Amino acid sequence: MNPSTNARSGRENLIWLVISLVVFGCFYIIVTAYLDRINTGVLDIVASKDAALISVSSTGSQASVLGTGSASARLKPGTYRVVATTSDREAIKIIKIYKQQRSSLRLLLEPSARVPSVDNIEFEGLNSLVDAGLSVSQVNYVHDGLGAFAPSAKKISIISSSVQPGPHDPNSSDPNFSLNFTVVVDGKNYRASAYYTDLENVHLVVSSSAGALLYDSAKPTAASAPND
Amino acid sequence: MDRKIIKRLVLISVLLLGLVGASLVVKAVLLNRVQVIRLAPASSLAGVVSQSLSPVESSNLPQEGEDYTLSRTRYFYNKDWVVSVIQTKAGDKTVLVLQSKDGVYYPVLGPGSAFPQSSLQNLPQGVKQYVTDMVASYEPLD
Repeated sequence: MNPSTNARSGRENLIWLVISLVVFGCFYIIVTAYLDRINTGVLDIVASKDAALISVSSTGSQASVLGTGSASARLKPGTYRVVATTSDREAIKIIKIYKQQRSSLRLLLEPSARVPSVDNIEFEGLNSLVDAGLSVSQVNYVHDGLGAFAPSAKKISIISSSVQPGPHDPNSSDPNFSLNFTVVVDGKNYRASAYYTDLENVHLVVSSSAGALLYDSAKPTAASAPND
Repeated sequence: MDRKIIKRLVLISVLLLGLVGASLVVKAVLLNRVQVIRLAPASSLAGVVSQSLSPVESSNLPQEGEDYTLSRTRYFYNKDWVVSVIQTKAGDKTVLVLQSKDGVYYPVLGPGSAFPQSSLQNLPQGVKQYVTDMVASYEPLD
């Protein structure tokens, strides 16, 4: 065989190799696409905010971003946790995906879930306790105690006109003083008493209008909060 | 090179490019132009934690093992609450508290390394104790 025939044969082999690889690659693309089609389900997601970042995860897997505002994805059958978030709002939903089925999910973003906190309660009338003789630190203690009594309350008001000193004999050497007052938690009235012996400590007790003990700051877990 | 051979090579190239293009069109039609998402395996909490963290460069979520690791994960009250420590590549450690409602974990505290006392106050006792041992608590200045 002469060199020119050898070169031609080598070139032909190379051409056929390239053709085979490309055809195989195309075949692979189509077969995997077909398998993905029959083995996955489609999830369409629309978030209530266009800027919301939409992501998906499942137990034992990493999370993946799908898009912002709206997204569609093919997922293997299973249970997924879909989240849409902006800087201050989020929506979390669990959805099951089935083979060859299309599912839709609309995510309504709401303020992020937070632990109830005394910081989120609006207080009113605390100054009336200062006017009646409690120190600022004692009032802060009452503030936190009322927050612990009603952690999920939206508004707690102390009725200024109800703040009255408890009975105390001016000639007695007894160091115990008290203030009785009415506290309104989200529209419901309670009786409260603040007991103190100095300018630092205070002991808060909250009772129902009928007189049943509901909260005692000395043993906060023994009584029940109004939300219970 | 022979002109005839060049012509043949060009023809083959065009045919192959057409074949690749046609394959991609078939793929798009088969999948209805919807992207297939394959989630990489990770620890059981990785996805939830990643979704609780801020995105990286606005379009990617941090990934466990790549951007952070989880440690000291502890479940409380029949897995209704879970606390985990997130350590970033830079070595920063933060605590994340999640609560399960109807089987869905919601981040309720963190990630952070210091929390106002009022935020810790309403956690269940066991969770509060575990978190308090790992973070600083403070009284915010009004």
